[in-house]
Amino acid sequence: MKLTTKQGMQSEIFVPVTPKPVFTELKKPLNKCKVAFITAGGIHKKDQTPFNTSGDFSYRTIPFDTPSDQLMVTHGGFDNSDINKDVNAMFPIDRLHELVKEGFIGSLPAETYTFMGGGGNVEKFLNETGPEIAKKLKAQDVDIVLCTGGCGTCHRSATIVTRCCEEAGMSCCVIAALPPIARQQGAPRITAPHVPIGSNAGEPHNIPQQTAIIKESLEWVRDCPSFNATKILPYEYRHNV
Amino acid sequence: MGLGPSIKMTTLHHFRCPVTHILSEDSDIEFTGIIVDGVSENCDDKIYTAKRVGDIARSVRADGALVAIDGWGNHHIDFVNIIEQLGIRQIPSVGLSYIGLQGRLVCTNSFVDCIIDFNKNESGYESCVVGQNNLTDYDAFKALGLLKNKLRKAGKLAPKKSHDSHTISNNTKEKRLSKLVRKVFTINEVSFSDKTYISNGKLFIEKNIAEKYLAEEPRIKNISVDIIPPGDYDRFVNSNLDFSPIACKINGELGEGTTHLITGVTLMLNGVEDKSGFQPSNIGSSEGILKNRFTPDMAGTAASNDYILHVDILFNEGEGRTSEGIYAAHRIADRIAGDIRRCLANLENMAYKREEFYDIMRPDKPKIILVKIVSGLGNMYDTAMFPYEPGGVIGARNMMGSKNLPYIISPNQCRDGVIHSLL
Repeated sequence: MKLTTKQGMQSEIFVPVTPKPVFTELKKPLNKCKVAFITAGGIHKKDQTPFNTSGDFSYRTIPFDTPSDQLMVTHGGFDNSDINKDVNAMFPIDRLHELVKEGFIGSLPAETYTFMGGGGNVEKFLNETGPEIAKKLKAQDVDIVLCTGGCGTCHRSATIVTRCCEEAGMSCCVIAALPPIARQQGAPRITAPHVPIGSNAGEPHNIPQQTAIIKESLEWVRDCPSFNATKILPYEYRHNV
Repeated sequence: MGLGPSIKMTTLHHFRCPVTHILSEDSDIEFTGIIVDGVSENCDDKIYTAKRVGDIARSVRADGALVAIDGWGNHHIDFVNIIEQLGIRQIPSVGLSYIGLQGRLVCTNSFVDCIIDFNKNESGYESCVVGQNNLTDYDAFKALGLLKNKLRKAGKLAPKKSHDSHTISNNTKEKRLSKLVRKVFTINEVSFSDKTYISNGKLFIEKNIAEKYLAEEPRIKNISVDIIPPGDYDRFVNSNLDFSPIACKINGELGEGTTHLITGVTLMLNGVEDKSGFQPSNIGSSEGILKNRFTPDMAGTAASNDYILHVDILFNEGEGRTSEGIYAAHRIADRIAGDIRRCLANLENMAYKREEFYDIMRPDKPKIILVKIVSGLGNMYDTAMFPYEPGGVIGARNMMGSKNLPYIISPNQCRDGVIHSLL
């Protein structure tokens, strides 16, 4: 699509319309579920090619046994300092392993997929990246997909990919720092802790808070009554200014 | 400042704000004031500050508003919330934003019904060319035209007069509030010398002007200062941090009294990190051959016949991505400008152009406000308000530190440089 830039030309601009509902009911108890976690927050392994911060629809494959200290962030548009302190603030890989040990969830897939949703090309995420990630997760028999995104357009990309996963038959929830975007873009389920963009999964190194956000998001996957419903989580964290 | 290089509003852009210019020119309305609101990183704060903007707008009895922003994505939550909060209070508005394809609204509400998209690029994606997708006078003109239509429909503005009745509007009810005098000194040539001074329309810059300021900023490894003659753009520059005016306050506070301004020279601040080579940026950096990396003659960039005083900062590794590092770079540019301001303050024997600006009250005309939504996300992505000198940064309060609560400023304060963009 090419834009016209003729002077004086009147045009109509894109206005987001919440897309059609997608909803896959969870039919297993949480402790029998295989749970994947994807993120649009620009997380990748330190030895992988960084994302292009001005817009990138590629994705990286992250084995779930990757130690969290081998992960990093490449993402413009928001303060990365929390993720630099603790990658679990955006991609809570350590917490997920703990939840498996605890027996709260069944298992994790062998690998998951991460991308950088900021300024992302909507059509590419909708038609290529999203369906591909969904297919790869489904092939690993994933039941539940949780997702985070950093900046505003990142929440949009996160929601697009999450919808693809829901359509492929998995039950999904976007953990949103910017719930109005997840809602408008049609996320199947939304949880919203009171956190700054970049720390969707909780304050860095605050293990109880991160655990509570994931647990309540998983419970919302189980309990959410209908498409696009939001649960506000009672956890608050602000950057120290 | 803004998200990507092509839409960001530099300090110079706010100083020469096209919307402020267009609103000040129109005697059908009263330009009541400018609300400056910061973009927060917490959604709750975005909603909270939008409500406070609505409260201020209602308190000043605004009849209509233009809402301008230089970000997209999460910034658009603030944008649509402010339009909604104004709408709830029966204040119609017209938005000005970069939309294109990349900046398509991520959310909206029923009050968002009229937006000027100031995208100037066929691709619809942000470019790395500073100023390319900037808001222009023409965008502002269109926005005001649409807003006046909305006001007419709401019965707040008299219908357009037919072409044959050229009655001059009766301005007897007009009342001038604060006055700003600007004396504009034209510089025709800039060169290095053994000290900094201005003589006969020529600006001489001390060769080692920056050296004395390096020790004050431990986050900065090196500073180099360059004079770029008009059009001599075939050279590599690092990522742009800002364009700013060189002006000094002679008397009064910012927004009133007298300001001396240099024309013919614009300060350009760029920088890169040592060792890592990281180019400070948010969405895409703007390093490269200068002629391909900025659009001259925009409100926020140097004119094509300007000399560019180019301050290039070498950050210690890691400091190109901390707010403290970015602040240090801006302070250095402010201090270098300070050396020139000292000469500019004592230029009584040089010819100048005198300009007068008034904040004007028109009790019988609809009151229009401008809402500027600026970055307050922190890290290197912030705005500072009320520096000591026009367009400076020293003495200014940063938006994030003030929790992004809205300010109300006068048009004269805006054109006297109270808004400083960081990165």
